Amino acid sequence: MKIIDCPLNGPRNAREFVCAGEVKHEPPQDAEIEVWANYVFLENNKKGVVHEWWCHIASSYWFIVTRDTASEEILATSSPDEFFAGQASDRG
Amino acid sequence: MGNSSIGRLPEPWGALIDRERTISFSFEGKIYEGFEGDTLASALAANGELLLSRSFKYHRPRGAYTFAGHDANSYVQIGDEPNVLADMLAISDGLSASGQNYIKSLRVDYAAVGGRLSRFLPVGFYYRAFFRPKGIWQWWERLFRRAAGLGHLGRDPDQRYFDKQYLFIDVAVIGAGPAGLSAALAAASEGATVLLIDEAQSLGGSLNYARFQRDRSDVASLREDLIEQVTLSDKIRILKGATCSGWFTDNWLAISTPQRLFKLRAKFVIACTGSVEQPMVFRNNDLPGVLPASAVQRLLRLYGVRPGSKVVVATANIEGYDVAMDLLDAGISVEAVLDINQSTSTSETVKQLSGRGIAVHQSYAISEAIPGKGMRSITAVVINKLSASGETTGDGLKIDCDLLVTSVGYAPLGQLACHSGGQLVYDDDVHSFVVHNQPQRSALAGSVNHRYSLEAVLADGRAAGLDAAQAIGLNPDAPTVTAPDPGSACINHPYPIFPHRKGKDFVDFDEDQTVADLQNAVADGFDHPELAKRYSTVGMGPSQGRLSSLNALRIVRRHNGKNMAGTSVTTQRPPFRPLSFGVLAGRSFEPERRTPMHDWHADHGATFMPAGMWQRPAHYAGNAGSKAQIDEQIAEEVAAIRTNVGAIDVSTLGGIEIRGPDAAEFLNCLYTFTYDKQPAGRSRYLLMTDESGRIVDDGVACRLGDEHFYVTTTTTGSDAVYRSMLRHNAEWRLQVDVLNVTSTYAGINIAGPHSRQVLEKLKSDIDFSRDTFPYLAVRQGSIDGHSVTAIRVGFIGELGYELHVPWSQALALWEKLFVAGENFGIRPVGVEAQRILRLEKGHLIVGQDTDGLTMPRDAALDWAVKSEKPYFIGKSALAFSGTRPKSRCLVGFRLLNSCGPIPEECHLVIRDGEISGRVTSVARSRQLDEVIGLAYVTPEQAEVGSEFDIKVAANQLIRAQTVATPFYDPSNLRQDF
Amino acid sequence: MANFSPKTGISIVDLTCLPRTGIKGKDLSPWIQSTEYEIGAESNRTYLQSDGTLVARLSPGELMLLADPSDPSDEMMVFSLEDDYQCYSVRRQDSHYWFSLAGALCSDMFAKLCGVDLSGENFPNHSIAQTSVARTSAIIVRHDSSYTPCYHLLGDSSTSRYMWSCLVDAMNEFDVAVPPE
Repeated sequence: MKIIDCPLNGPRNAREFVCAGEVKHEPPQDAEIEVWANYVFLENNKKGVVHEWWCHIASSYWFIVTRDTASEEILATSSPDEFFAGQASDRG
Repeated sequence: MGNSSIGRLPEPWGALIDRERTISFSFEGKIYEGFEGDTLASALAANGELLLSRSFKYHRPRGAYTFAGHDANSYVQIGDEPNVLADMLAISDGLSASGQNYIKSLRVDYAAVGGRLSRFLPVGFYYRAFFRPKGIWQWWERLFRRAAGLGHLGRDPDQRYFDKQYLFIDVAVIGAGPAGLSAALAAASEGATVLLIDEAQSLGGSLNYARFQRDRSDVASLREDLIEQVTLSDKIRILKGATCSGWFTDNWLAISTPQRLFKLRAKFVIACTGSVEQPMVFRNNDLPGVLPASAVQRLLRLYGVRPGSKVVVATANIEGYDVAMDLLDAGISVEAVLDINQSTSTSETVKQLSGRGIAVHQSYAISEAIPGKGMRSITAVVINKLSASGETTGDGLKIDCDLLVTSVGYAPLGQLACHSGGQLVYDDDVHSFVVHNQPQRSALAGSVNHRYSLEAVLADGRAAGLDAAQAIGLNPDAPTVTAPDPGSACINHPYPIFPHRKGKDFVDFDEDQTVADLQNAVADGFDHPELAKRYSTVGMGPSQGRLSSLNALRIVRRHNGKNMAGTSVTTQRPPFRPLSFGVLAGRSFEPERRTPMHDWHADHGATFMPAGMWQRPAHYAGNAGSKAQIDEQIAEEVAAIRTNVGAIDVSTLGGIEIRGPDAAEFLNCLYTFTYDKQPAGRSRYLLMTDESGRIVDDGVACRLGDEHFYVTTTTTGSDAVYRSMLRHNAEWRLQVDVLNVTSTYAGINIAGPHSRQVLEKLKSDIDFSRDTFPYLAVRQGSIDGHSVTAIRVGFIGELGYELHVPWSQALALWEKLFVAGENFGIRPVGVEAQRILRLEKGHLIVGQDTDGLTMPRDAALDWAVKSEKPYFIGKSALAFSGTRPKSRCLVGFRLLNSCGPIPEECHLVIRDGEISGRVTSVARSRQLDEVIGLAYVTPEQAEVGSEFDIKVAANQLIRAQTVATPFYDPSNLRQDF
Repeated sequence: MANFSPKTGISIVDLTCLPRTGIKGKDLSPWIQSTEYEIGAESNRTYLQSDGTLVARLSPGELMLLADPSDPSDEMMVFSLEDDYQCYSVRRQDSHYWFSLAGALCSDMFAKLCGVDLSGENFPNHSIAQTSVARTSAIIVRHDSSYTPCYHLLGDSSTSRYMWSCLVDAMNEFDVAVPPE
């Protein structure tokens, strides 16, 4: 079983976590419906480095995993504050 | 009692057995005696019984081959447990075992006729013979299922207690042979904690039986010395009788013992798993009486068993000469030694052997073993001179013997490394597989790494141990260890395969595959090892190709005429050995959540039903047995609420507190309704959709203050809703704090015309009167000393209050309500009655009346969607879907004939013979004297008054009519009582 | 119970009735500064106060306060949260059960339920693990009593009965002291 290094709880078995998929950026509310459909229904399924939402179940702590989907190697884990620092909020 | 010349050797032969302790056991109904320390196979061998089982396809007689648990030939049945390895199972008093895979008896197997019919069971015959005519397989299957298969399974539950446990260690060393012992000591000397794992009950591996071209006593004293050091080390923990079954990502190892599975996380893994001696291929090479050298050495040294009386040794390396010396030392007659190499070996051992008067036939091989009666033994072998190209020539020479020992080299036990990404690749230098793509933070040492001389093995282990310590950060300044010299002579013969024109020259003992079968596979076009494996099934038996992959690959290589350099064997997968389901299952954990009133419910006749992890009272019918009695009880519970007062335990509802300056804004974004203008002290419906606009949860938002909401969720949705709130909070970074209070507050729904009077009987600072505590209002205060958040709710359509009370005080309040309500006829009400009550009001339950495609407007919940809001999850999808025609509607219906059959949930709505919807909820309402329900129908069928059919059984349609909801009290007067 | 030795066995006791509380919020750190509590910034470790209260820092924004089992008094749990801070108190008394286990073999027993290494120096005194125990979420706090390893286990109150039975079952192979239910 893979080990994931949780920024709050340290290295733990992957079974302690759930993944909520890639960090995506919502289109603006007035975007074309095709853009929205793409966003809602299509997964990038990218081969290479992706950023994903992971939650440590026992502590309900969300963080970002930077992972290479080809090698399955976890390159970094970071708290949302670190990750989103300097980015504008996605909401609406 | 079998052949008396086979039996026990005097001490010191038999290091593992205790001759003082005799053990009596039975095999095939016959009583035998063995010694403490014997395995079933060794004890039987000491009694002259080599026959253990019948082969899978031709039912040929077979015995243990490796005496180390690497072949399916030694599978036996112990009671209800099939496929127990006889050469791994320690005997115990009263043990009763039998052979497997025969009809009538192990000695006389009627199904062995398959052996004679083998030309009608060619390679790939499953694929070739049964694909037409259609259905023919079903006919043949019954026959083959009976003839094939390994053992039989007991049908009674296994009562043994299986367990699982995690282990944590710096360095895991798998295999406690010379390499493993040396690696463990080296790693521990650098300060690492070490777990030393071995399948055997005694440490030492090959040091227990091998000769290593020297005086056996030297090897034995080295063993003693290493074991003493390992045992005394406080850094080394030893796990005997344990199999490493799998090696997974990040050095996660499954270690199985008979009744406990260990899940081991190691910082570094050293696999000292050794190697398996490979068969020589010739006619009848599978019979009892043909054994590899290491098996004979195990019998001699570990169990003191005399494996035969007249022995022929066929060897390609120095170890064959070693075993000949062992046999002579044991006083066993060695009739001949054949060396299948072209050039003469000149080592010291060979000279010693010649000195003892043994004839060495250089450049000879075995072409055939001559079977004895019933093919349960051999009586002679035929030896043939080899041509320059390594093929047998001439008519051969027959030598009488009852044991043939072969020594043609090893295949590394590299399977474990392959579980974690490694590959076994054929290497022409060592004529064997080598492990490529070694997993990170691991090493191989010893014969699995192609080290065979004792010096090389010990040095290799030591280097791996030091390397491990350094890799995990111990002693970082130590000089890097240079890989030791692999040592001299190649031990593997490149092609120890001597096909016979009459066949039965077995490559795979599990699957009864011969040289001709593989040649035919290649001829049929399956000329890659991967394809040949699948077509012929070679290597697919229980021993996973341990004894067959190497020879099979050599044969395919030779016959397909292609350059196969770097060819790997097919992927090796866990488990390393077959595991019992008991070990895999272990102790099962089935978490169960209970409300604080659980025991009260049980004491009052509740029958519980699961809701997610929760246990909820379905009804309180006590021991009532019949469905009619239960229905009657449920009806009484419904009536209690409609006419008097009842209490429902709603503690399982999710509870979440949202606090902070942006709390209302946070809810606005998460839910479809608006909450910024909701006044404190009021509750409001909550509907959550996902990004595609589908309903995922609902509940109630209570505004407790400007910056404080208390939110309920559905019972099963609470964890997911809470988790998604936290994620959105991390993403949106509003000024909000989210807290899950599901198990902080229990919930009591007290409802019915008398509910207010019951509450007013208790001392409270909350004014429950109609005008000061109206419908949908929220009040906080205390009831008889318990702090309570009270909500006026209408889910079940009567005057009612949800009381949210701290978990530890809930039972006390519940009991006080029952005392206060006694005169009003208060009853506890279960989930079944609650479902009828809400159905009478036409309220939907998310998850029951909605599915993965339900949008708010399908369920007539448009009123709860405020599309003017700048943002909420699902807004864009809902805006788009609003421009498209509706395809289905959730409506209320009644049956035209309320005395006929009643549909069930998920029964289909039929229109013109086509499916047009389905029933989601249905119940008989005594209140309305009707059968009512909710169903998805087409928009045309959704018109009030229109009729549609529901299919309740094949060819049985019943008529239903769409009606307006609520069915009961349509003006909602009663909940505003 | 009489023959029980913490060196060879494990004892378990239910402390659910003892006082405990929580504090949560974005301004937790500034709030701590304003109090007399001595609480470090490091999460997932405990800070023992002079009055015997054990403060468990679960995250930068959340504390759990456990009364001293040898001298439990409700008063120490009463404190005021001023309006100046975005911080609030949390009813941990209700939300969590509180079991306490002691004995040298506790970590071996926990290894049957939990995938985190709780042994010796791998989980030193004052450590906290928020993890899955017997497939439910729980908080494990190491708080040794003199020289005996001691672990507090806190988890969702609704799973209290389930967890107790899992623990007793897992302890069976050891020399155990379990009070009657």
